[in-house]
Amino acid sequence: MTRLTAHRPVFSGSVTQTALVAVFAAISLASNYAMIGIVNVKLMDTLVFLAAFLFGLRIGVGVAVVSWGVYGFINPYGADDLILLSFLVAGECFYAITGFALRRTSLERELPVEKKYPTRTAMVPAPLRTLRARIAIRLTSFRGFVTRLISYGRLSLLFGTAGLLSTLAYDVLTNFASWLFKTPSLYSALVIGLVTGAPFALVHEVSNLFFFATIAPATIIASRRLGHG
Amino acid sequence: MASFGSYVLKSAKSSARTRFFYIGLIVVIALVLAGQLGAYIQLEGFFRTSSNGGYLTIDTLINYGNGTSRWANKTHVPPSWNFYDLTANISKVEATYTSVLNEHFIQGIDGVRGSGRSYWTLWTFCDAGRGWAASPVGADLIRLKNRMVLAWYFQAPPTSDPSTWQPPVPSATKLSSCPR
Repeated sequence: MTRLTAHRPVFSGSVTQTALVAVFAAISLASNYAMIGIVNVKLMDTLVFLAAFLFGLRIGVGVAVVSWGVYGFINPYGADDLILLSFLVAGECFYAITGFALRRTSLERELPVEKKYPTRTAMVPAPLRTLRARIAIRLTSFRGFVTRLISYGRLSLLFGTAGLLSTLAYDVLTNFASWLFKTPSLYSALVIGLVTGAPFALVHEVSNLFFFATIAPATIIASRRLGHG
Repeated sequence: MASFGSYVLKSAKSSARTRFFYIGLIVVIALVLAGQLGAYIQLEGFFRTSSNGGYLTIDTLINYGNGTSRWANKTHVPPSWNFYDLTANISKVEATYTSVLNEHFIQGIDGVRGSGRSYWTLWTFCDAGRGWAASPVGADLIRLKNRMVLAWYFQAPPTSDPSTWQPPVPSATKLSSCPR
């Protein structure tokens, strides 16, 4: 029994996957309702992305569908009609696709999963701790800090850009869908949707840029260090 | 030596490529945000110039003086309207018209009628001074401008001198007149 489970991926069981979808959807819905007063600032997108990155596309899409299935109908701003809801779900799946696609890149291998913090005592033996040695320790420590900062900064930039582009795609699609049956042509629906939705899209994109650049890499690295995902 | 040289060259090339990649990401972020900001500014400009398809957008506060206030926000009105027309449109107004002055004297709004020393006072919010100023003219003579904020306040001031009146929003700044 032990051998069987040891060779099986931890989150591959259908019950576990259903539970994962439920947990992620619950967190995303709870955060959506908690942040209802801040229009277009939501953690849901980051959570869908994380679910897909850590546990695969099916989980990510599942979280997107379940979250919108509830949030689209039970919403203080009013329920969405089925057509708009289908566009919202499709748009939300962009985050899942991005998460899944990003996991397949070389980024996965470059994640700073192992902690590399050289201890001061390890670098210089005790008898050699002169002033020069101490300065050398400080310099090495500072260099290490800068290297880590650059490494995390690059990672944040990468995740932030991925989040921003997915959000742009989501906003373009959903703003277009909002005007789809109210304008004479598809082109005018797109243009009017883009212009009238611009203030909301701007808030959405800036907030997601921030969330994807901070929460996403931190969660992924933490999850890897714990041996999950 | 040659292999070391090619290694240095290769790593320099790779480092430059990496740097270009991350600079490219920053450019992408800047482009997307600039595009959205441009669309937003375009939209703002559209509302400022056409003021909602030729209509003006006005915010009106009615303070009934009994602790109840009502905001009629973003009311779209034709540019030809004056503030009396707008008030009559958003509330139930009792007024007497004086043809000589071409003015309506407001007696009551939404059933709150003037009596004794209590009457309706008229206020304008001044963007420049960020405060309320009593209107020097009656509602009929107020020419509406887009995004104007006006108020009616039912109160019993000690004198008819507007400097003794209370502004329609408690503890808001009161100005003697709107700064030009």
